[in-house]
Amino acid sequence: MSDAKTKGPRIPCRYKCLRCGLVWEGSYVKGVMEELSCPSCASNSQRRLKEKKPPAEKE
Amino acid sequence: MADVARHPRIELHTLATVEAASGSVGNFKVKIRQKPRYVDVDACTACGDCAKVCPVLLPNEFEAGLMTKRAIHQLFPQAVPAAYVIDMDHCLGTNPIACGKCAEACGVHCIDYDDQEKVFEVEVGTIIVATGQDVMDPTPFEEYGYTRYENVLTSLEFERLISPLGPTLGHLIKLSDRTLPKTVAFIQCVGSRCDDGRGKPYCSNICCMNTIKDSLLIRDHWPDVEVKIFYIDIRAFGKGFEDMYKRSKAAGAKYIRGIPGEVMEDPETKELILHVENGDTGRLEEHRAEMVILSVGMEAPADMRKLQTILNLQKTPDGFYLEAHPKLLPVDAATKGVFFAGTAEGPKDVKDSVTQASAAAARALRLMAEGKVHIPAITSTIDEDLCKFCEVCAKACPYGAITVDRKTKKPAVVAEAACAGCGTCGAECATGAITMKHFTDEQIIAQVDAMLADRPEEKIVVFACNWCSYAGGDFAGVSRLQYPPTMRLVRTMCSGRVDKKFVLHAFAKGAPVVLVSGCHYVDCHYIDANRWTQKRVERLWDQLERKGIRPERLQLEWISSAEGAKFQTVMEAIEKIRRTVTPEEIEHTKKVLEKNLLEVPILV
Repeated sequence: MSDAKTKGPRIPCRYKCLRCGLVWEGSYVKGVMEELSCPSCASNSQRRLKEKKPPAEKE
Repeated sequence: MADVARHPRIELHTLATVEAASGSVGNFKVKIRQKPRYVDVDACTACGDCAKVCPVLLPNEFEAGLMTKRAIHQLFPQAVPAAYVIDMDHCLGTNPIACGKCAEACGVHCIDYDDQEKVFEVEVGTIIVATGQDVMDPTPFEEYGYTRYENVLTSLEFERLISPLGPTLGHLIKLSDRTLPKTVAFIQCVGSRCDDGRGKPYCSNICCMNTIKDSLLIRDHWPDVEVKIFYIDIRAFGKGFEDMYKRSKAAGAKYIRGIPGEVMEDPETKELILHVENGDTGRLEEHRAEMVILSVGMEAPADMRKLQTILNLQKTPDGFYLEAHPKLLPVDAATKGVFFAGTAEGPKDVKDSVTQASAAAARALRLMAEGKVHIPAITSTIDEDLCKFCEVCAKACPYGAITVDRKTKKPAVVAEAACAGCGTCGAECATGAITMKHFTDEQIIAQVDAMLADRPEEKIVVFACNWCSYAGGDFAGVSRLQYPPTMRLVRTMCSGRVDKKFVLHAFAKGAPVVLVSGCHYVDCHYIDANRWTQKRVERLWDQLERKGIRPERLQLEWISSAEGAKFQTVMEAIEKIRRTVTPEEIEHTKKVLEKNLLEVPILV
């Protein structure tokens, strides 16, 4: 959307398609909703994968 | 414009900006901030005696910087009101008065150095937004040498240069030596139809015809001047425009298909050299011109964002305001009682601007003349006893129709005249305080119950918005496109109305898959209510996953009313997902939801 350019930088992320299961590299702008389509099946059901942080090592 | 100034029922507030607006159609309250003019408009006769003695010289923006103005000036000769104004940022000073020559020269004593900024409120029934446009800046296009070469001008500068009231009184001259150029070259699409980030991707609509008009003017007034026009394609699609294009060619203007890659200047002769690949011949050519005009496009003014927030307007990715419907409501904003005129809505020429302004005035008059507004039956109502003043509904309402005061614990109030009936507030309200007339929770739940009463494992519950997805399904039907018979459609006015409890209720009743479907992002008929749909579905995916329910069973799709084929494709794909859902999975889901493990109230 038009706001995307003004609200901040694009943050790299990974998306997963909830129809065909494709995972791909993409990006998003914090606070801005964008319409997405799966590059494989054109579905609009995408989840942005939250990267899990590695557990803190115990001393 | 003079007629407007004289009209007894039109109030002009010049030098003014809108600070805030509240209320709804028929009862807007608009807060206006008006800058001081330092000149009494009623007393000023626009004689110009003040400007003659003013010692401060400034660039004249109206003349594209080709002329100067004084610190006390009239914006342009036909300005309304016909009165002077002082640019106090550049005036030598009034406290203490360091100059005061204008006040001494004024015969009618209309200059008031103590004039103050005014903030006032007006009550209006309708609002017409006519914010105009900005001209694109050609400086990022370094290859054309706009900042390096004197004889490279923009089309607006050229317009002022050849104006009878302009800096040369209409004489065409080169700025380098003030002589008549032998050849004038126009480069089209500077800043328009540009995808590399330096300009705008859209066509600015007016530039081709402006250049054609200029070419005719040059050939008519100065027949010895050669005109070359470098273009991608000429877009002469208006009434009489093709004829004008042909006349330009017949008058001797040379049209060369190709945009020069570079403009260079011969340092001695100041002649400009253009290198271009001619699209018609496929050859690299070198052309020479003594003057190059960059046909710059239009862009939305930078401050449109502020008014967008104040009036709850919607913008296109191009930055212009979005109309409520491109065909049926082309001058209406999504906010009721607000209309667009001119380039606020998109690039257009004078004729189209006047046409649209007339239409906007007529639309506004229709409301004003009637004196009352017909409110649609589908609006939200609040149960004050259930409202917890959380303000979520007020944030979710795309129209700003809901007011809540958390501090004073004043329950939500819906301005029904402003409510468009999308139902997003009802879906977001966690306490069930909001009822959407004709699309109540009970009505929708009852539909889901009826759909899933018999063999629910064979059914797919589809929540489809009235304007796009449901119509897309309709279109698929009338187009005889076959899709699986397992679909069961629940119509809501907007996908924003789809409460998460509807989705969970469908799963609790044994639905293997649920689809939430709405308009594409820019097409949402309720400004941007479908963004709330997406947020809600994303939250639901997380909740479902946490409880061991496959998120794939909840699908989200944006389908427009014209996408019957997409509707068919989506339904076929979802049917495949349905077949992967096992009876054990459905039973597990039912158990999870029966135990109410999800933190959502479920109507049973």
